[in-house]
Amino acid sequence: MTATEHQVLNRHLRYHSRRDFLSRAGAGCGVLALSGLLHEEASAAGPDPGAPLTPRVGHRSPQATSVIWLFMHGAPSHVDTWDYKPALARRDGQTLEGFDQSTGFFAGQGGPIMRSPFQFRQHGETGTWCSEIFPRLAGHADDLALIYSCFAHENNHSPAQFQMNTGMARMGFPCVGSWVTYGLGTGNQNLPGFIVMYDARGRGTPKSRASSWGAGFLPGVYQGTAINSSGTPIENLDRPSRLNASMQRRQLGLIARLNRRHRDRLPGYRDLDARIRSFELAYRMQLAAPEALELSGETAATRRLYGFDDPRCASFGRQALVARRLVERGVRFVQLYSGGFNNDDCWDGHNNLDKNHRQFAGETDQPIAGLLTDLKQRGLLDSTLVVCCGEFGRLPLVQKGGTGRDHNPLAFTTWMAGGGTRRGARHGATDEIGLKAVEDRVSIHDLHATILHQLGLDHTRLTYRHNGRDVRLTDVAGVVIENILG
Amino acid sequence: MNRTWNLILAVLLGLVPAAAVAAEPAGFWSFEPLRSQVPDVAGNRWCRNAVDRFVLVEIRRQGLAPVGTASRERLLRRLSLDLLGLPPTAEQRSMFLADNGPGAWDRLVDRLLSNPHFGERWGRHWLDVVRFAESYGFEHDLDNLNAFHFRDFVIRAFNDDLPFDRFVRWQLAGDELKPENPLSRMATGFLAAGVRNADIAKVRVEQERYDELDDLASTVGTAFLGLSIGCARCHDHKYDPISREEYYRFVATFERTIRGEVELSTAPTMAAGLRKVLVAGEGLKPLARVYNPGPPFYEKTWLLRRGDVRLKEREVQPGFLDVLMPVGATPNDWRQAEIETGQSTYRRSRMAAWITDVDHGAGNLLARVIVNRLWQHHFGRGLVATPNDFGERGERPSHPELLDWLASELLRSGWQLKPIHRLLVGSATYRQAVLSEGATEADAGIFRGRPVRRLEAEAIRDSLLALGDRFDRRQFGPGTLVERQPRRSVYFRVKRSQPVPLISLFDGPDTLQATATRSVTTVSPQALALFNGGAVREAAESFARVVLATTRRSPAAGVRRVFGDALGREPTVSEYEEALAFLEAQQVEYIESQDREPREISDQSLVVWLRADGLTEGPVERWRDHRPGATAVEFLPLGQRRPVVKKDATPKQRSSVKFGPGATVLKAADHPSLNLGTGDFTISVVFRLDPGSKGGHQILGKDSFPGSGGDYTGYFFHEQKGKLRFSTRNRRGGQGQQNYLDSHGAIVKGRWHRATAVRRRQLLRLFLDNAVRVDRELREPAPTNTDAAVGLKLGLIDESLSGAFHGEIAEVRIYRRAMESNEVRQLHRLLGSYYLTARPIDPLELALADLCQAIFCLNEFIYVE
Repeated sequence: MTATEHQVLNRHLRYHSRRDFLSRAGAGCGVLALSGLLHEEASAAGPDPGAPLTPRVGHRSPQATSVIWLFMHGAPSHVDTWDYKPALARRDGQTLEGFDQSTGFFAGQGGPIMRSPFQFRQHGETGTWCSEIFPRLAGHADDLALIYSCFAHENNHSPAQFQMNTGMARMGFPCVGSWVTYGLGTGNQNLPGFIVMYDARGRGTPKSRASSWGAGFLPGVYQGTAINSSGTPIENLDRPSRLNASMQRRQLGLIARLNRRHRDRLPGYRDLDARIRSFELAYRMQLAAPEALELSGETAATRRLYGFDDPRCASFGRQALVARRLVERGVRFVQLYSGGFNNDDCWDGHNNLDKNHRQFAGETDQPIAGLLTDLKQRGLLDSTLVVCCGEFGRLPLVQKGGTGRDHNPLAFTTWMAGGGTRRGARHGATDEIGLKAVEDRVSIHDLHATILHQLGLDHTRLTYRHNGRDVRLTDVAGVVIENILG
Repeated sequence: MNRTWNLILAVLLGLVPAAAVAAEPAGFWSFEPLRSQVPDVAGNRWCRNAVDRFVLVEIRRQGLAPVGTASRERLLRRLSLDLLGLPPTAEQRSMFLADNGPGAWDRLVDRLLSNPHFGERWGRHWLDVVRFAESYGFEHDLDNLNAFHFRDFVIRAFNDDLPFDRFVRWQLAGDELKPENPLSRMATGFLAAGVRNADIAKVRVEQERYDELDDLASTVGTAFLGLSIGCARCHDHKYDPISREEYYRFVATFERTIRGEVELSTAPTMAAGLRKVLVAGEGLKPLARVYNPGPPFYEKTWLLRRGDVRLKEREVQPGFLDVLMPVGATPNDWRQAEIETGQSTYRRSRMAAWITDVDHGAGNLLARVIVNRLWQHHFGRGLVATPNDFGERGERPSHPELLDWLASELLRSGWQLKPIHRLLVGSATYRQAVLSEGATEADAGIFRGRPVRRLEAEAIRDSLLALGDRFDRRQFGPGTLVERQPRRSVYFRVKRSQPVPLISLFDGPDTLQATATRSVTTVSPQALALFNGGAVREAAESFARVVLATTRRSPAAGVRRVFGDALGREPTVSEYEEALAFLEAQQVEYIESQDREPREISDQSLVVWLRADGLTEGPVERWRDHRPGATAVEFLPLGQRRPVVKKDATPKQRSSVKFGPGATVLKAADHPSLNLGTGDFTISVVFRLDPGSKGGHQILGKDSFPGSGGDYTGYFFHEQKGKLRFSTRNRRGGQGQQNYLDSHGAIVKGRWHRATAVRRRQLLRLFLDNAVRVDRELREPAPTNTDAAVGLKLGLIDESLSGAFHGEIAEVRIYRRAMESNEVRQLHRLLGSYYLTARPIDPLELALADLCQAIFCLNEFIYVE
């Protein structure tokens, strides 16, 4: 889609002048079969490709059609996970000359160099170094495209999370998932197109709260939906208590008949059709959403694969399995958060890195490895781009007063798998101790450009006119990381 | 008179050749002086006022004719929703429909413009534009509970028709211009409403300050002038004549302006008295931060490269936009008689004077921008279709002369907005009917025919509410986040991290940047909220009660009333018949369901059954198991204070056992039947928390938590932050299970709740009240043996912790088996009919509520013609 076409889409969303839109937006693709559960009320008007979530193709044919984004909230330490730095052990305890004490969040608390508390080993044909806290994920080392040279601009969580999710360090911009569903719609109209699951153990939301799935100035339809991975998954899915199914059907039937008559009086307004259809879809969502989250049909082997039998990771494992079920059902963009709001409830290992990272690796290692295995087995990994990152990295130094590490926006590791990325790709490097990304540095805009690219979207052409500007996810920057692509 | 004006005067008098002063010709339409000439149109009987002449010229230019007038019923509904955001009441309807005299429309317009709900509706439009919110965003999203005064000021200003130039000046500099007037101080809440990071690393403090200043400059630009000034932060504006230097000069105006709180008399909006009010100004005590490593402002403003504080080029002095000033003018040229308080640099009052200055400043653009906003809301799109962008990248006006003429009219009226509203809604253009075959882009551009427009989120919710008996019309004062509050939606507290679900679902405003035009999206979750959502159901039941009360339970009259009140018209014959048939069919099902009284569930697996009914009044001596002939489990008071039996405690006048104040505990000695081991179970409790009590209630449990450290095991119910927590746990030496299952649904203090926890193998499920489905579930990672060598306690599980239960229990049941979901539903219905349903259900009322709810779902209700 070109920028002009997106402007047309903007306009369409504003006051639904549609013919123009239809002719350009690829009306042919992704026609939905609307059998209409309210069969007596089924609309004669047929599918409405102008609906904002209707699937469409981007600027080129995509490598991936869905994204599962694993957000390691609180920022894992790259030098204790994937970015092996033997120099840390050699220089353990030495003062780092010339270190800028304002790099981390706690100015002046940067202590001497600290070795990793974890052992590293090489894995796979690629001989990839990985720390002992990811024993199972290490088995997938050859599947991953590792980017060692990421950097951010912010040294505190919420702005950095805004940046990782929206490209901007300030609130109010649309998340990647919003841009993607804005550009491409979604493959299952009975489920939200952009779904987020955050900590299910009661440890709270990410630090950037609901902004982590906000649509900013894009229309609200592109906002992420945070679902509960058990119980009532989506708001308002249950009937009012006294109404049984047949009574509700009768009520919806009355609504449909009266609406149809109203529309017949005003035949020129297709919004009215769209809204009639939204009722049918809502009725179907009542059934589809619980079905997508019902795991009882999954085999014991699958459950084991995701770590259901390990108390540490059962909760994240459940979410990872739900994520697979969602992309299987056509959901465009799924984002999972590991860890909750407070420092010690997420990967934010300021005080005791060893304990903190062992815990959160323990919660995620098996589920993520299981997810990759499962996606592969089902042939979904080719069409699903899996992204795993934090909002920044951690310093190679000890934070004074403990055995942890402070924030480091200058370097961190992100990996991607599937969705057309090159298996075993290795990109960029940090300096000898992992303080700074120095070789083939990758900005957050670059990560975003790459994700859009794999989905068939050109990040320079996916725009939305807002307060006088054609705004992009990647602002005025962003380079696709060709080196990690297949 | 200062130098610049002298110079201009000199030019005008021909003393100095104009070329000597003229800058490059501005040329761009929005920076030009106002030009307006009402066109002559032949055969203009259609026209009601000058607005129509401008419109008619364009319609005729396309070889078309305007559309005829809409029916009076539709016009009334259109106008009422437009001016008040509420459907017309039955009285307004009969009054208008009975007034057949000439001038009836103008009288209606006058009535509605003087209705106090007008300011709530139109104030809300302004709040969108100024990104109003009452919390500061970012991870802490700190609340400011004194921020609502700005919203009240805005509502007052619209109701009182405060001249718009003064409205703008007060928002920019009310503290400098009228420090003694509480309203003008409240107005500076405009400057205090943006986001604010309260937890900043030291190295970021200055950058954050520039972000804060950028928010001010950008919002002033878009809200007042329709200019994207913020685009020049990193580089000269690509399209509009705004340089990076001008941006930083503009920013310097706000250099020392910070947010703070002052005590003001709130007499203009609330009961007289002093209250803390969030304001902005210079010399205020800064608001606290979570982490506070730097100053609230810096005394110099720098020209930055790429917006980066590390790349300072040079210091800049305050300034405005060159394109909207005479050449060589400086802010000092707009210096006012300044009240010397020594508190302020008066930079903002100069900006305020400049921005409203029609002769030498930005006043003409300001007038164009606001009349365009009025037009936009009355007609569905602006004369400039990009109301926040009057620059090069924005749309050109479709009717430039009309826009200028309206702006001139605004100036002629002394900047009062109500005369402009009168012109717009009094026009024949406004009164056109809808083009039934659909308006094309071309029709929309020439305002031929009315668009069909979806109501905004607030208007949808307020309409539902206004039809029922719960609607609270009180104005002003603190807002709330409670979705079911009975006041208008403008009185929701605007918390950036927690938008009210129904409002955001229907495209509520983005509170981070100026919103000019709300999106209109149609998605299924909106439909779910309307046909399943609790708030809408409640409104439907409330509306049904009103209808029932006013129609003497006549279904026929009821149907007429529902259509009349909700849609502003009589039902058609077929609608009437269908609605009646629907009422009857629903009633039949309600009556049948009433006959199906839920069966008692009392089998061998029931090991504890406590029922407060039957206990004698007064302090509880003992509470014995209610099961017939069972080995009774007996609960005895622990400690001095005893819970008390309360008569007529539930809506059906059943007794309860009242716990608190302080710790009041009933305990059953450890007993094999209470030890559930790793087995399945079902535990139900009927309870309520005291209204006004604090949180953390421990309701019941058999748990051996020793306070701190050590081993513990057991199961319990516990209130936690407004949710119900059920837990099973088994900790040995710091290892082992702790399973917390927090309800999704909220526990409301003062309300009776039925809660059931079920464990089937390792799957824990929680059910609340009428929930059709499980409220929440959790898988125990490993089987949890909940056997604790302690008694089962009511009122407090663990004496070493605070959090005694302050509330009542009416019934407790423990089954040693896992109930199916439908069984739990049956049990909850049983408990509901025993304790809660105060009166037998009224099938007609419920059926009517179903009809009302159906009407709320109609396109005709949500869209206005």
